[in-house]
Amino acid sequence: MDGVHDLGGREGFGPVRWQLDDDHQPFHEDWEARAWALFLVFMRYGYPAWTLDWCRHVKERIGPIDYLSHNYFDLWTQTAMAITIEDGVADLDEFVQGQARFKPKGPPSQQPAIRSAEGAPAFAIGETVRVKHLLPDDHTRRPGYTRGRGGIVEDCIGLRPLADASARGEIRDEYLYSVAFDGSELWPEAVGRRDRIFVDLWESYLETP
Amino acid sequence: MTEYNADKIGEIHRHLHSELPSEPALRVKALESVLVEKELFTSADIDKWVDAYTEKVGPINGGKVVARAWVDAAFKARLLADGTKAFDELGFKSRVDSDLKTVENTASVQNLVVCTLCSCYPLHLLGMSPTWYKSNEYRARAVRDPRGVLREFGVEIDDDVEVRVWDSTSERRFLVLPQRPPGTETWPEDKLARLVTRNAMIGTQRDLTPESL
Repeated sequence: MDGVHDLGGREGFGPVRWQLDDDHQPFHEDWEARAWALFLVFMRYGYPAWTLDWCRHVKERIGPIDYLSHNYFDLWTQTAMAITIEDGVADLDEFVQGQARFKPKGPPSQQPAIRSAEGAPAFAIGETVRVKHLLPDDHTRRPGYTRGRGGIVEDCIGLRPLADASARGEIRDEYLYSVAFDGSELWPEAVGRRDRIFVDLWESYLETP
Repeated sequence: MTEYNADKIGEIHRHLHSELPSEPALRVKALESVLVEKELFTSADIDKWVDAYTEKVGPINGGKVVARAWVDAAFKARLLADGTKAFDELGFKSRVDSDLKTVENTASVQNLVVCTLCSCYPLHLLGMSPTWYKSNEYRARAVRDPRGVLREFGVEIDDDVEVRVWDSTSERRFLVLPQRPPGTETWPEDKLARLVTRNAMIGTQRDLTPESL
């Protein structure tokens, strides 16, 4: 999905304001700790139907202006509400009133469909690959800044569930690679800099240039 | 039952945006009240996780891994070859679906970790991630202008030092193995572990300072 969550390389953002962050204060308000803990408990409840990638995708679907401006923990709160409403576990009015009106039938019952993989990896370590240009309009872990760019396969990590499929409730194993991109392949101003960007990419994201 | 229907989710978000109070504390309260009343879980379940994350778990587990690698060359070799297995040796139970990768800083390499697509972070080794790690600014700029970002953290990288940025796009989590500072040759492992900062293990600090302990 070509959304604003895909932030890598977007320009116009100012300095990283790390000085505002007290090293020993992971949460700045009590409700932030509560929201974080709630989401962890929530994910355990919905496992394995509410996969991590489904949760990520639901967060990505928050309107772009809210996504960029709301507090990080608040985004997870809204994500949890949206997941339960879509699933039928809760409805909008209950959250507006802050009161439950019905009990769900039980934890999400469906098991993700398991699709196993066959065959050897298509790409070898050291091989030049290119990231496919067209981005699917749903969940993917292929960052926009890698589209159409060439890199070198640094490592084959092995068969891992493809994130795009997990977000649809399917466990489909596919080879995962670490691909190294020269900074200058991605950004015009990086020519001459010794920068390399390493991105984990699944086999179906890649092609031979 | 979920249909994994993203269009429906978009519509739900728009309703939530217009009908819910904008105050985040009220929103999380509404979420907790409704789901606890529905008996999805209890408030005590949430309390447990609040305690786990606020009792300063911090980055000490990551520090222990780094210190062991500094004092034990064979462990370091195993750590760089297969981080997941080496972490388990120290008694950290890895999540089954998550791989751990350690990347080593040297005189000619500085590593930097980011998650441009969301906020992936080795929580069980470093505790809760800092606010800046999850910020739009860091996620946008770390892959494009890593040297500029490092300069903002007070870290100047020489032109002949390579910067390697690791974007956490899969379930692999990254830990930077910083260089052992000179003057710590006689230090015991537990003191070395306390020297290692969270930012050094993310990559936004290059030199550790023995005089800080």
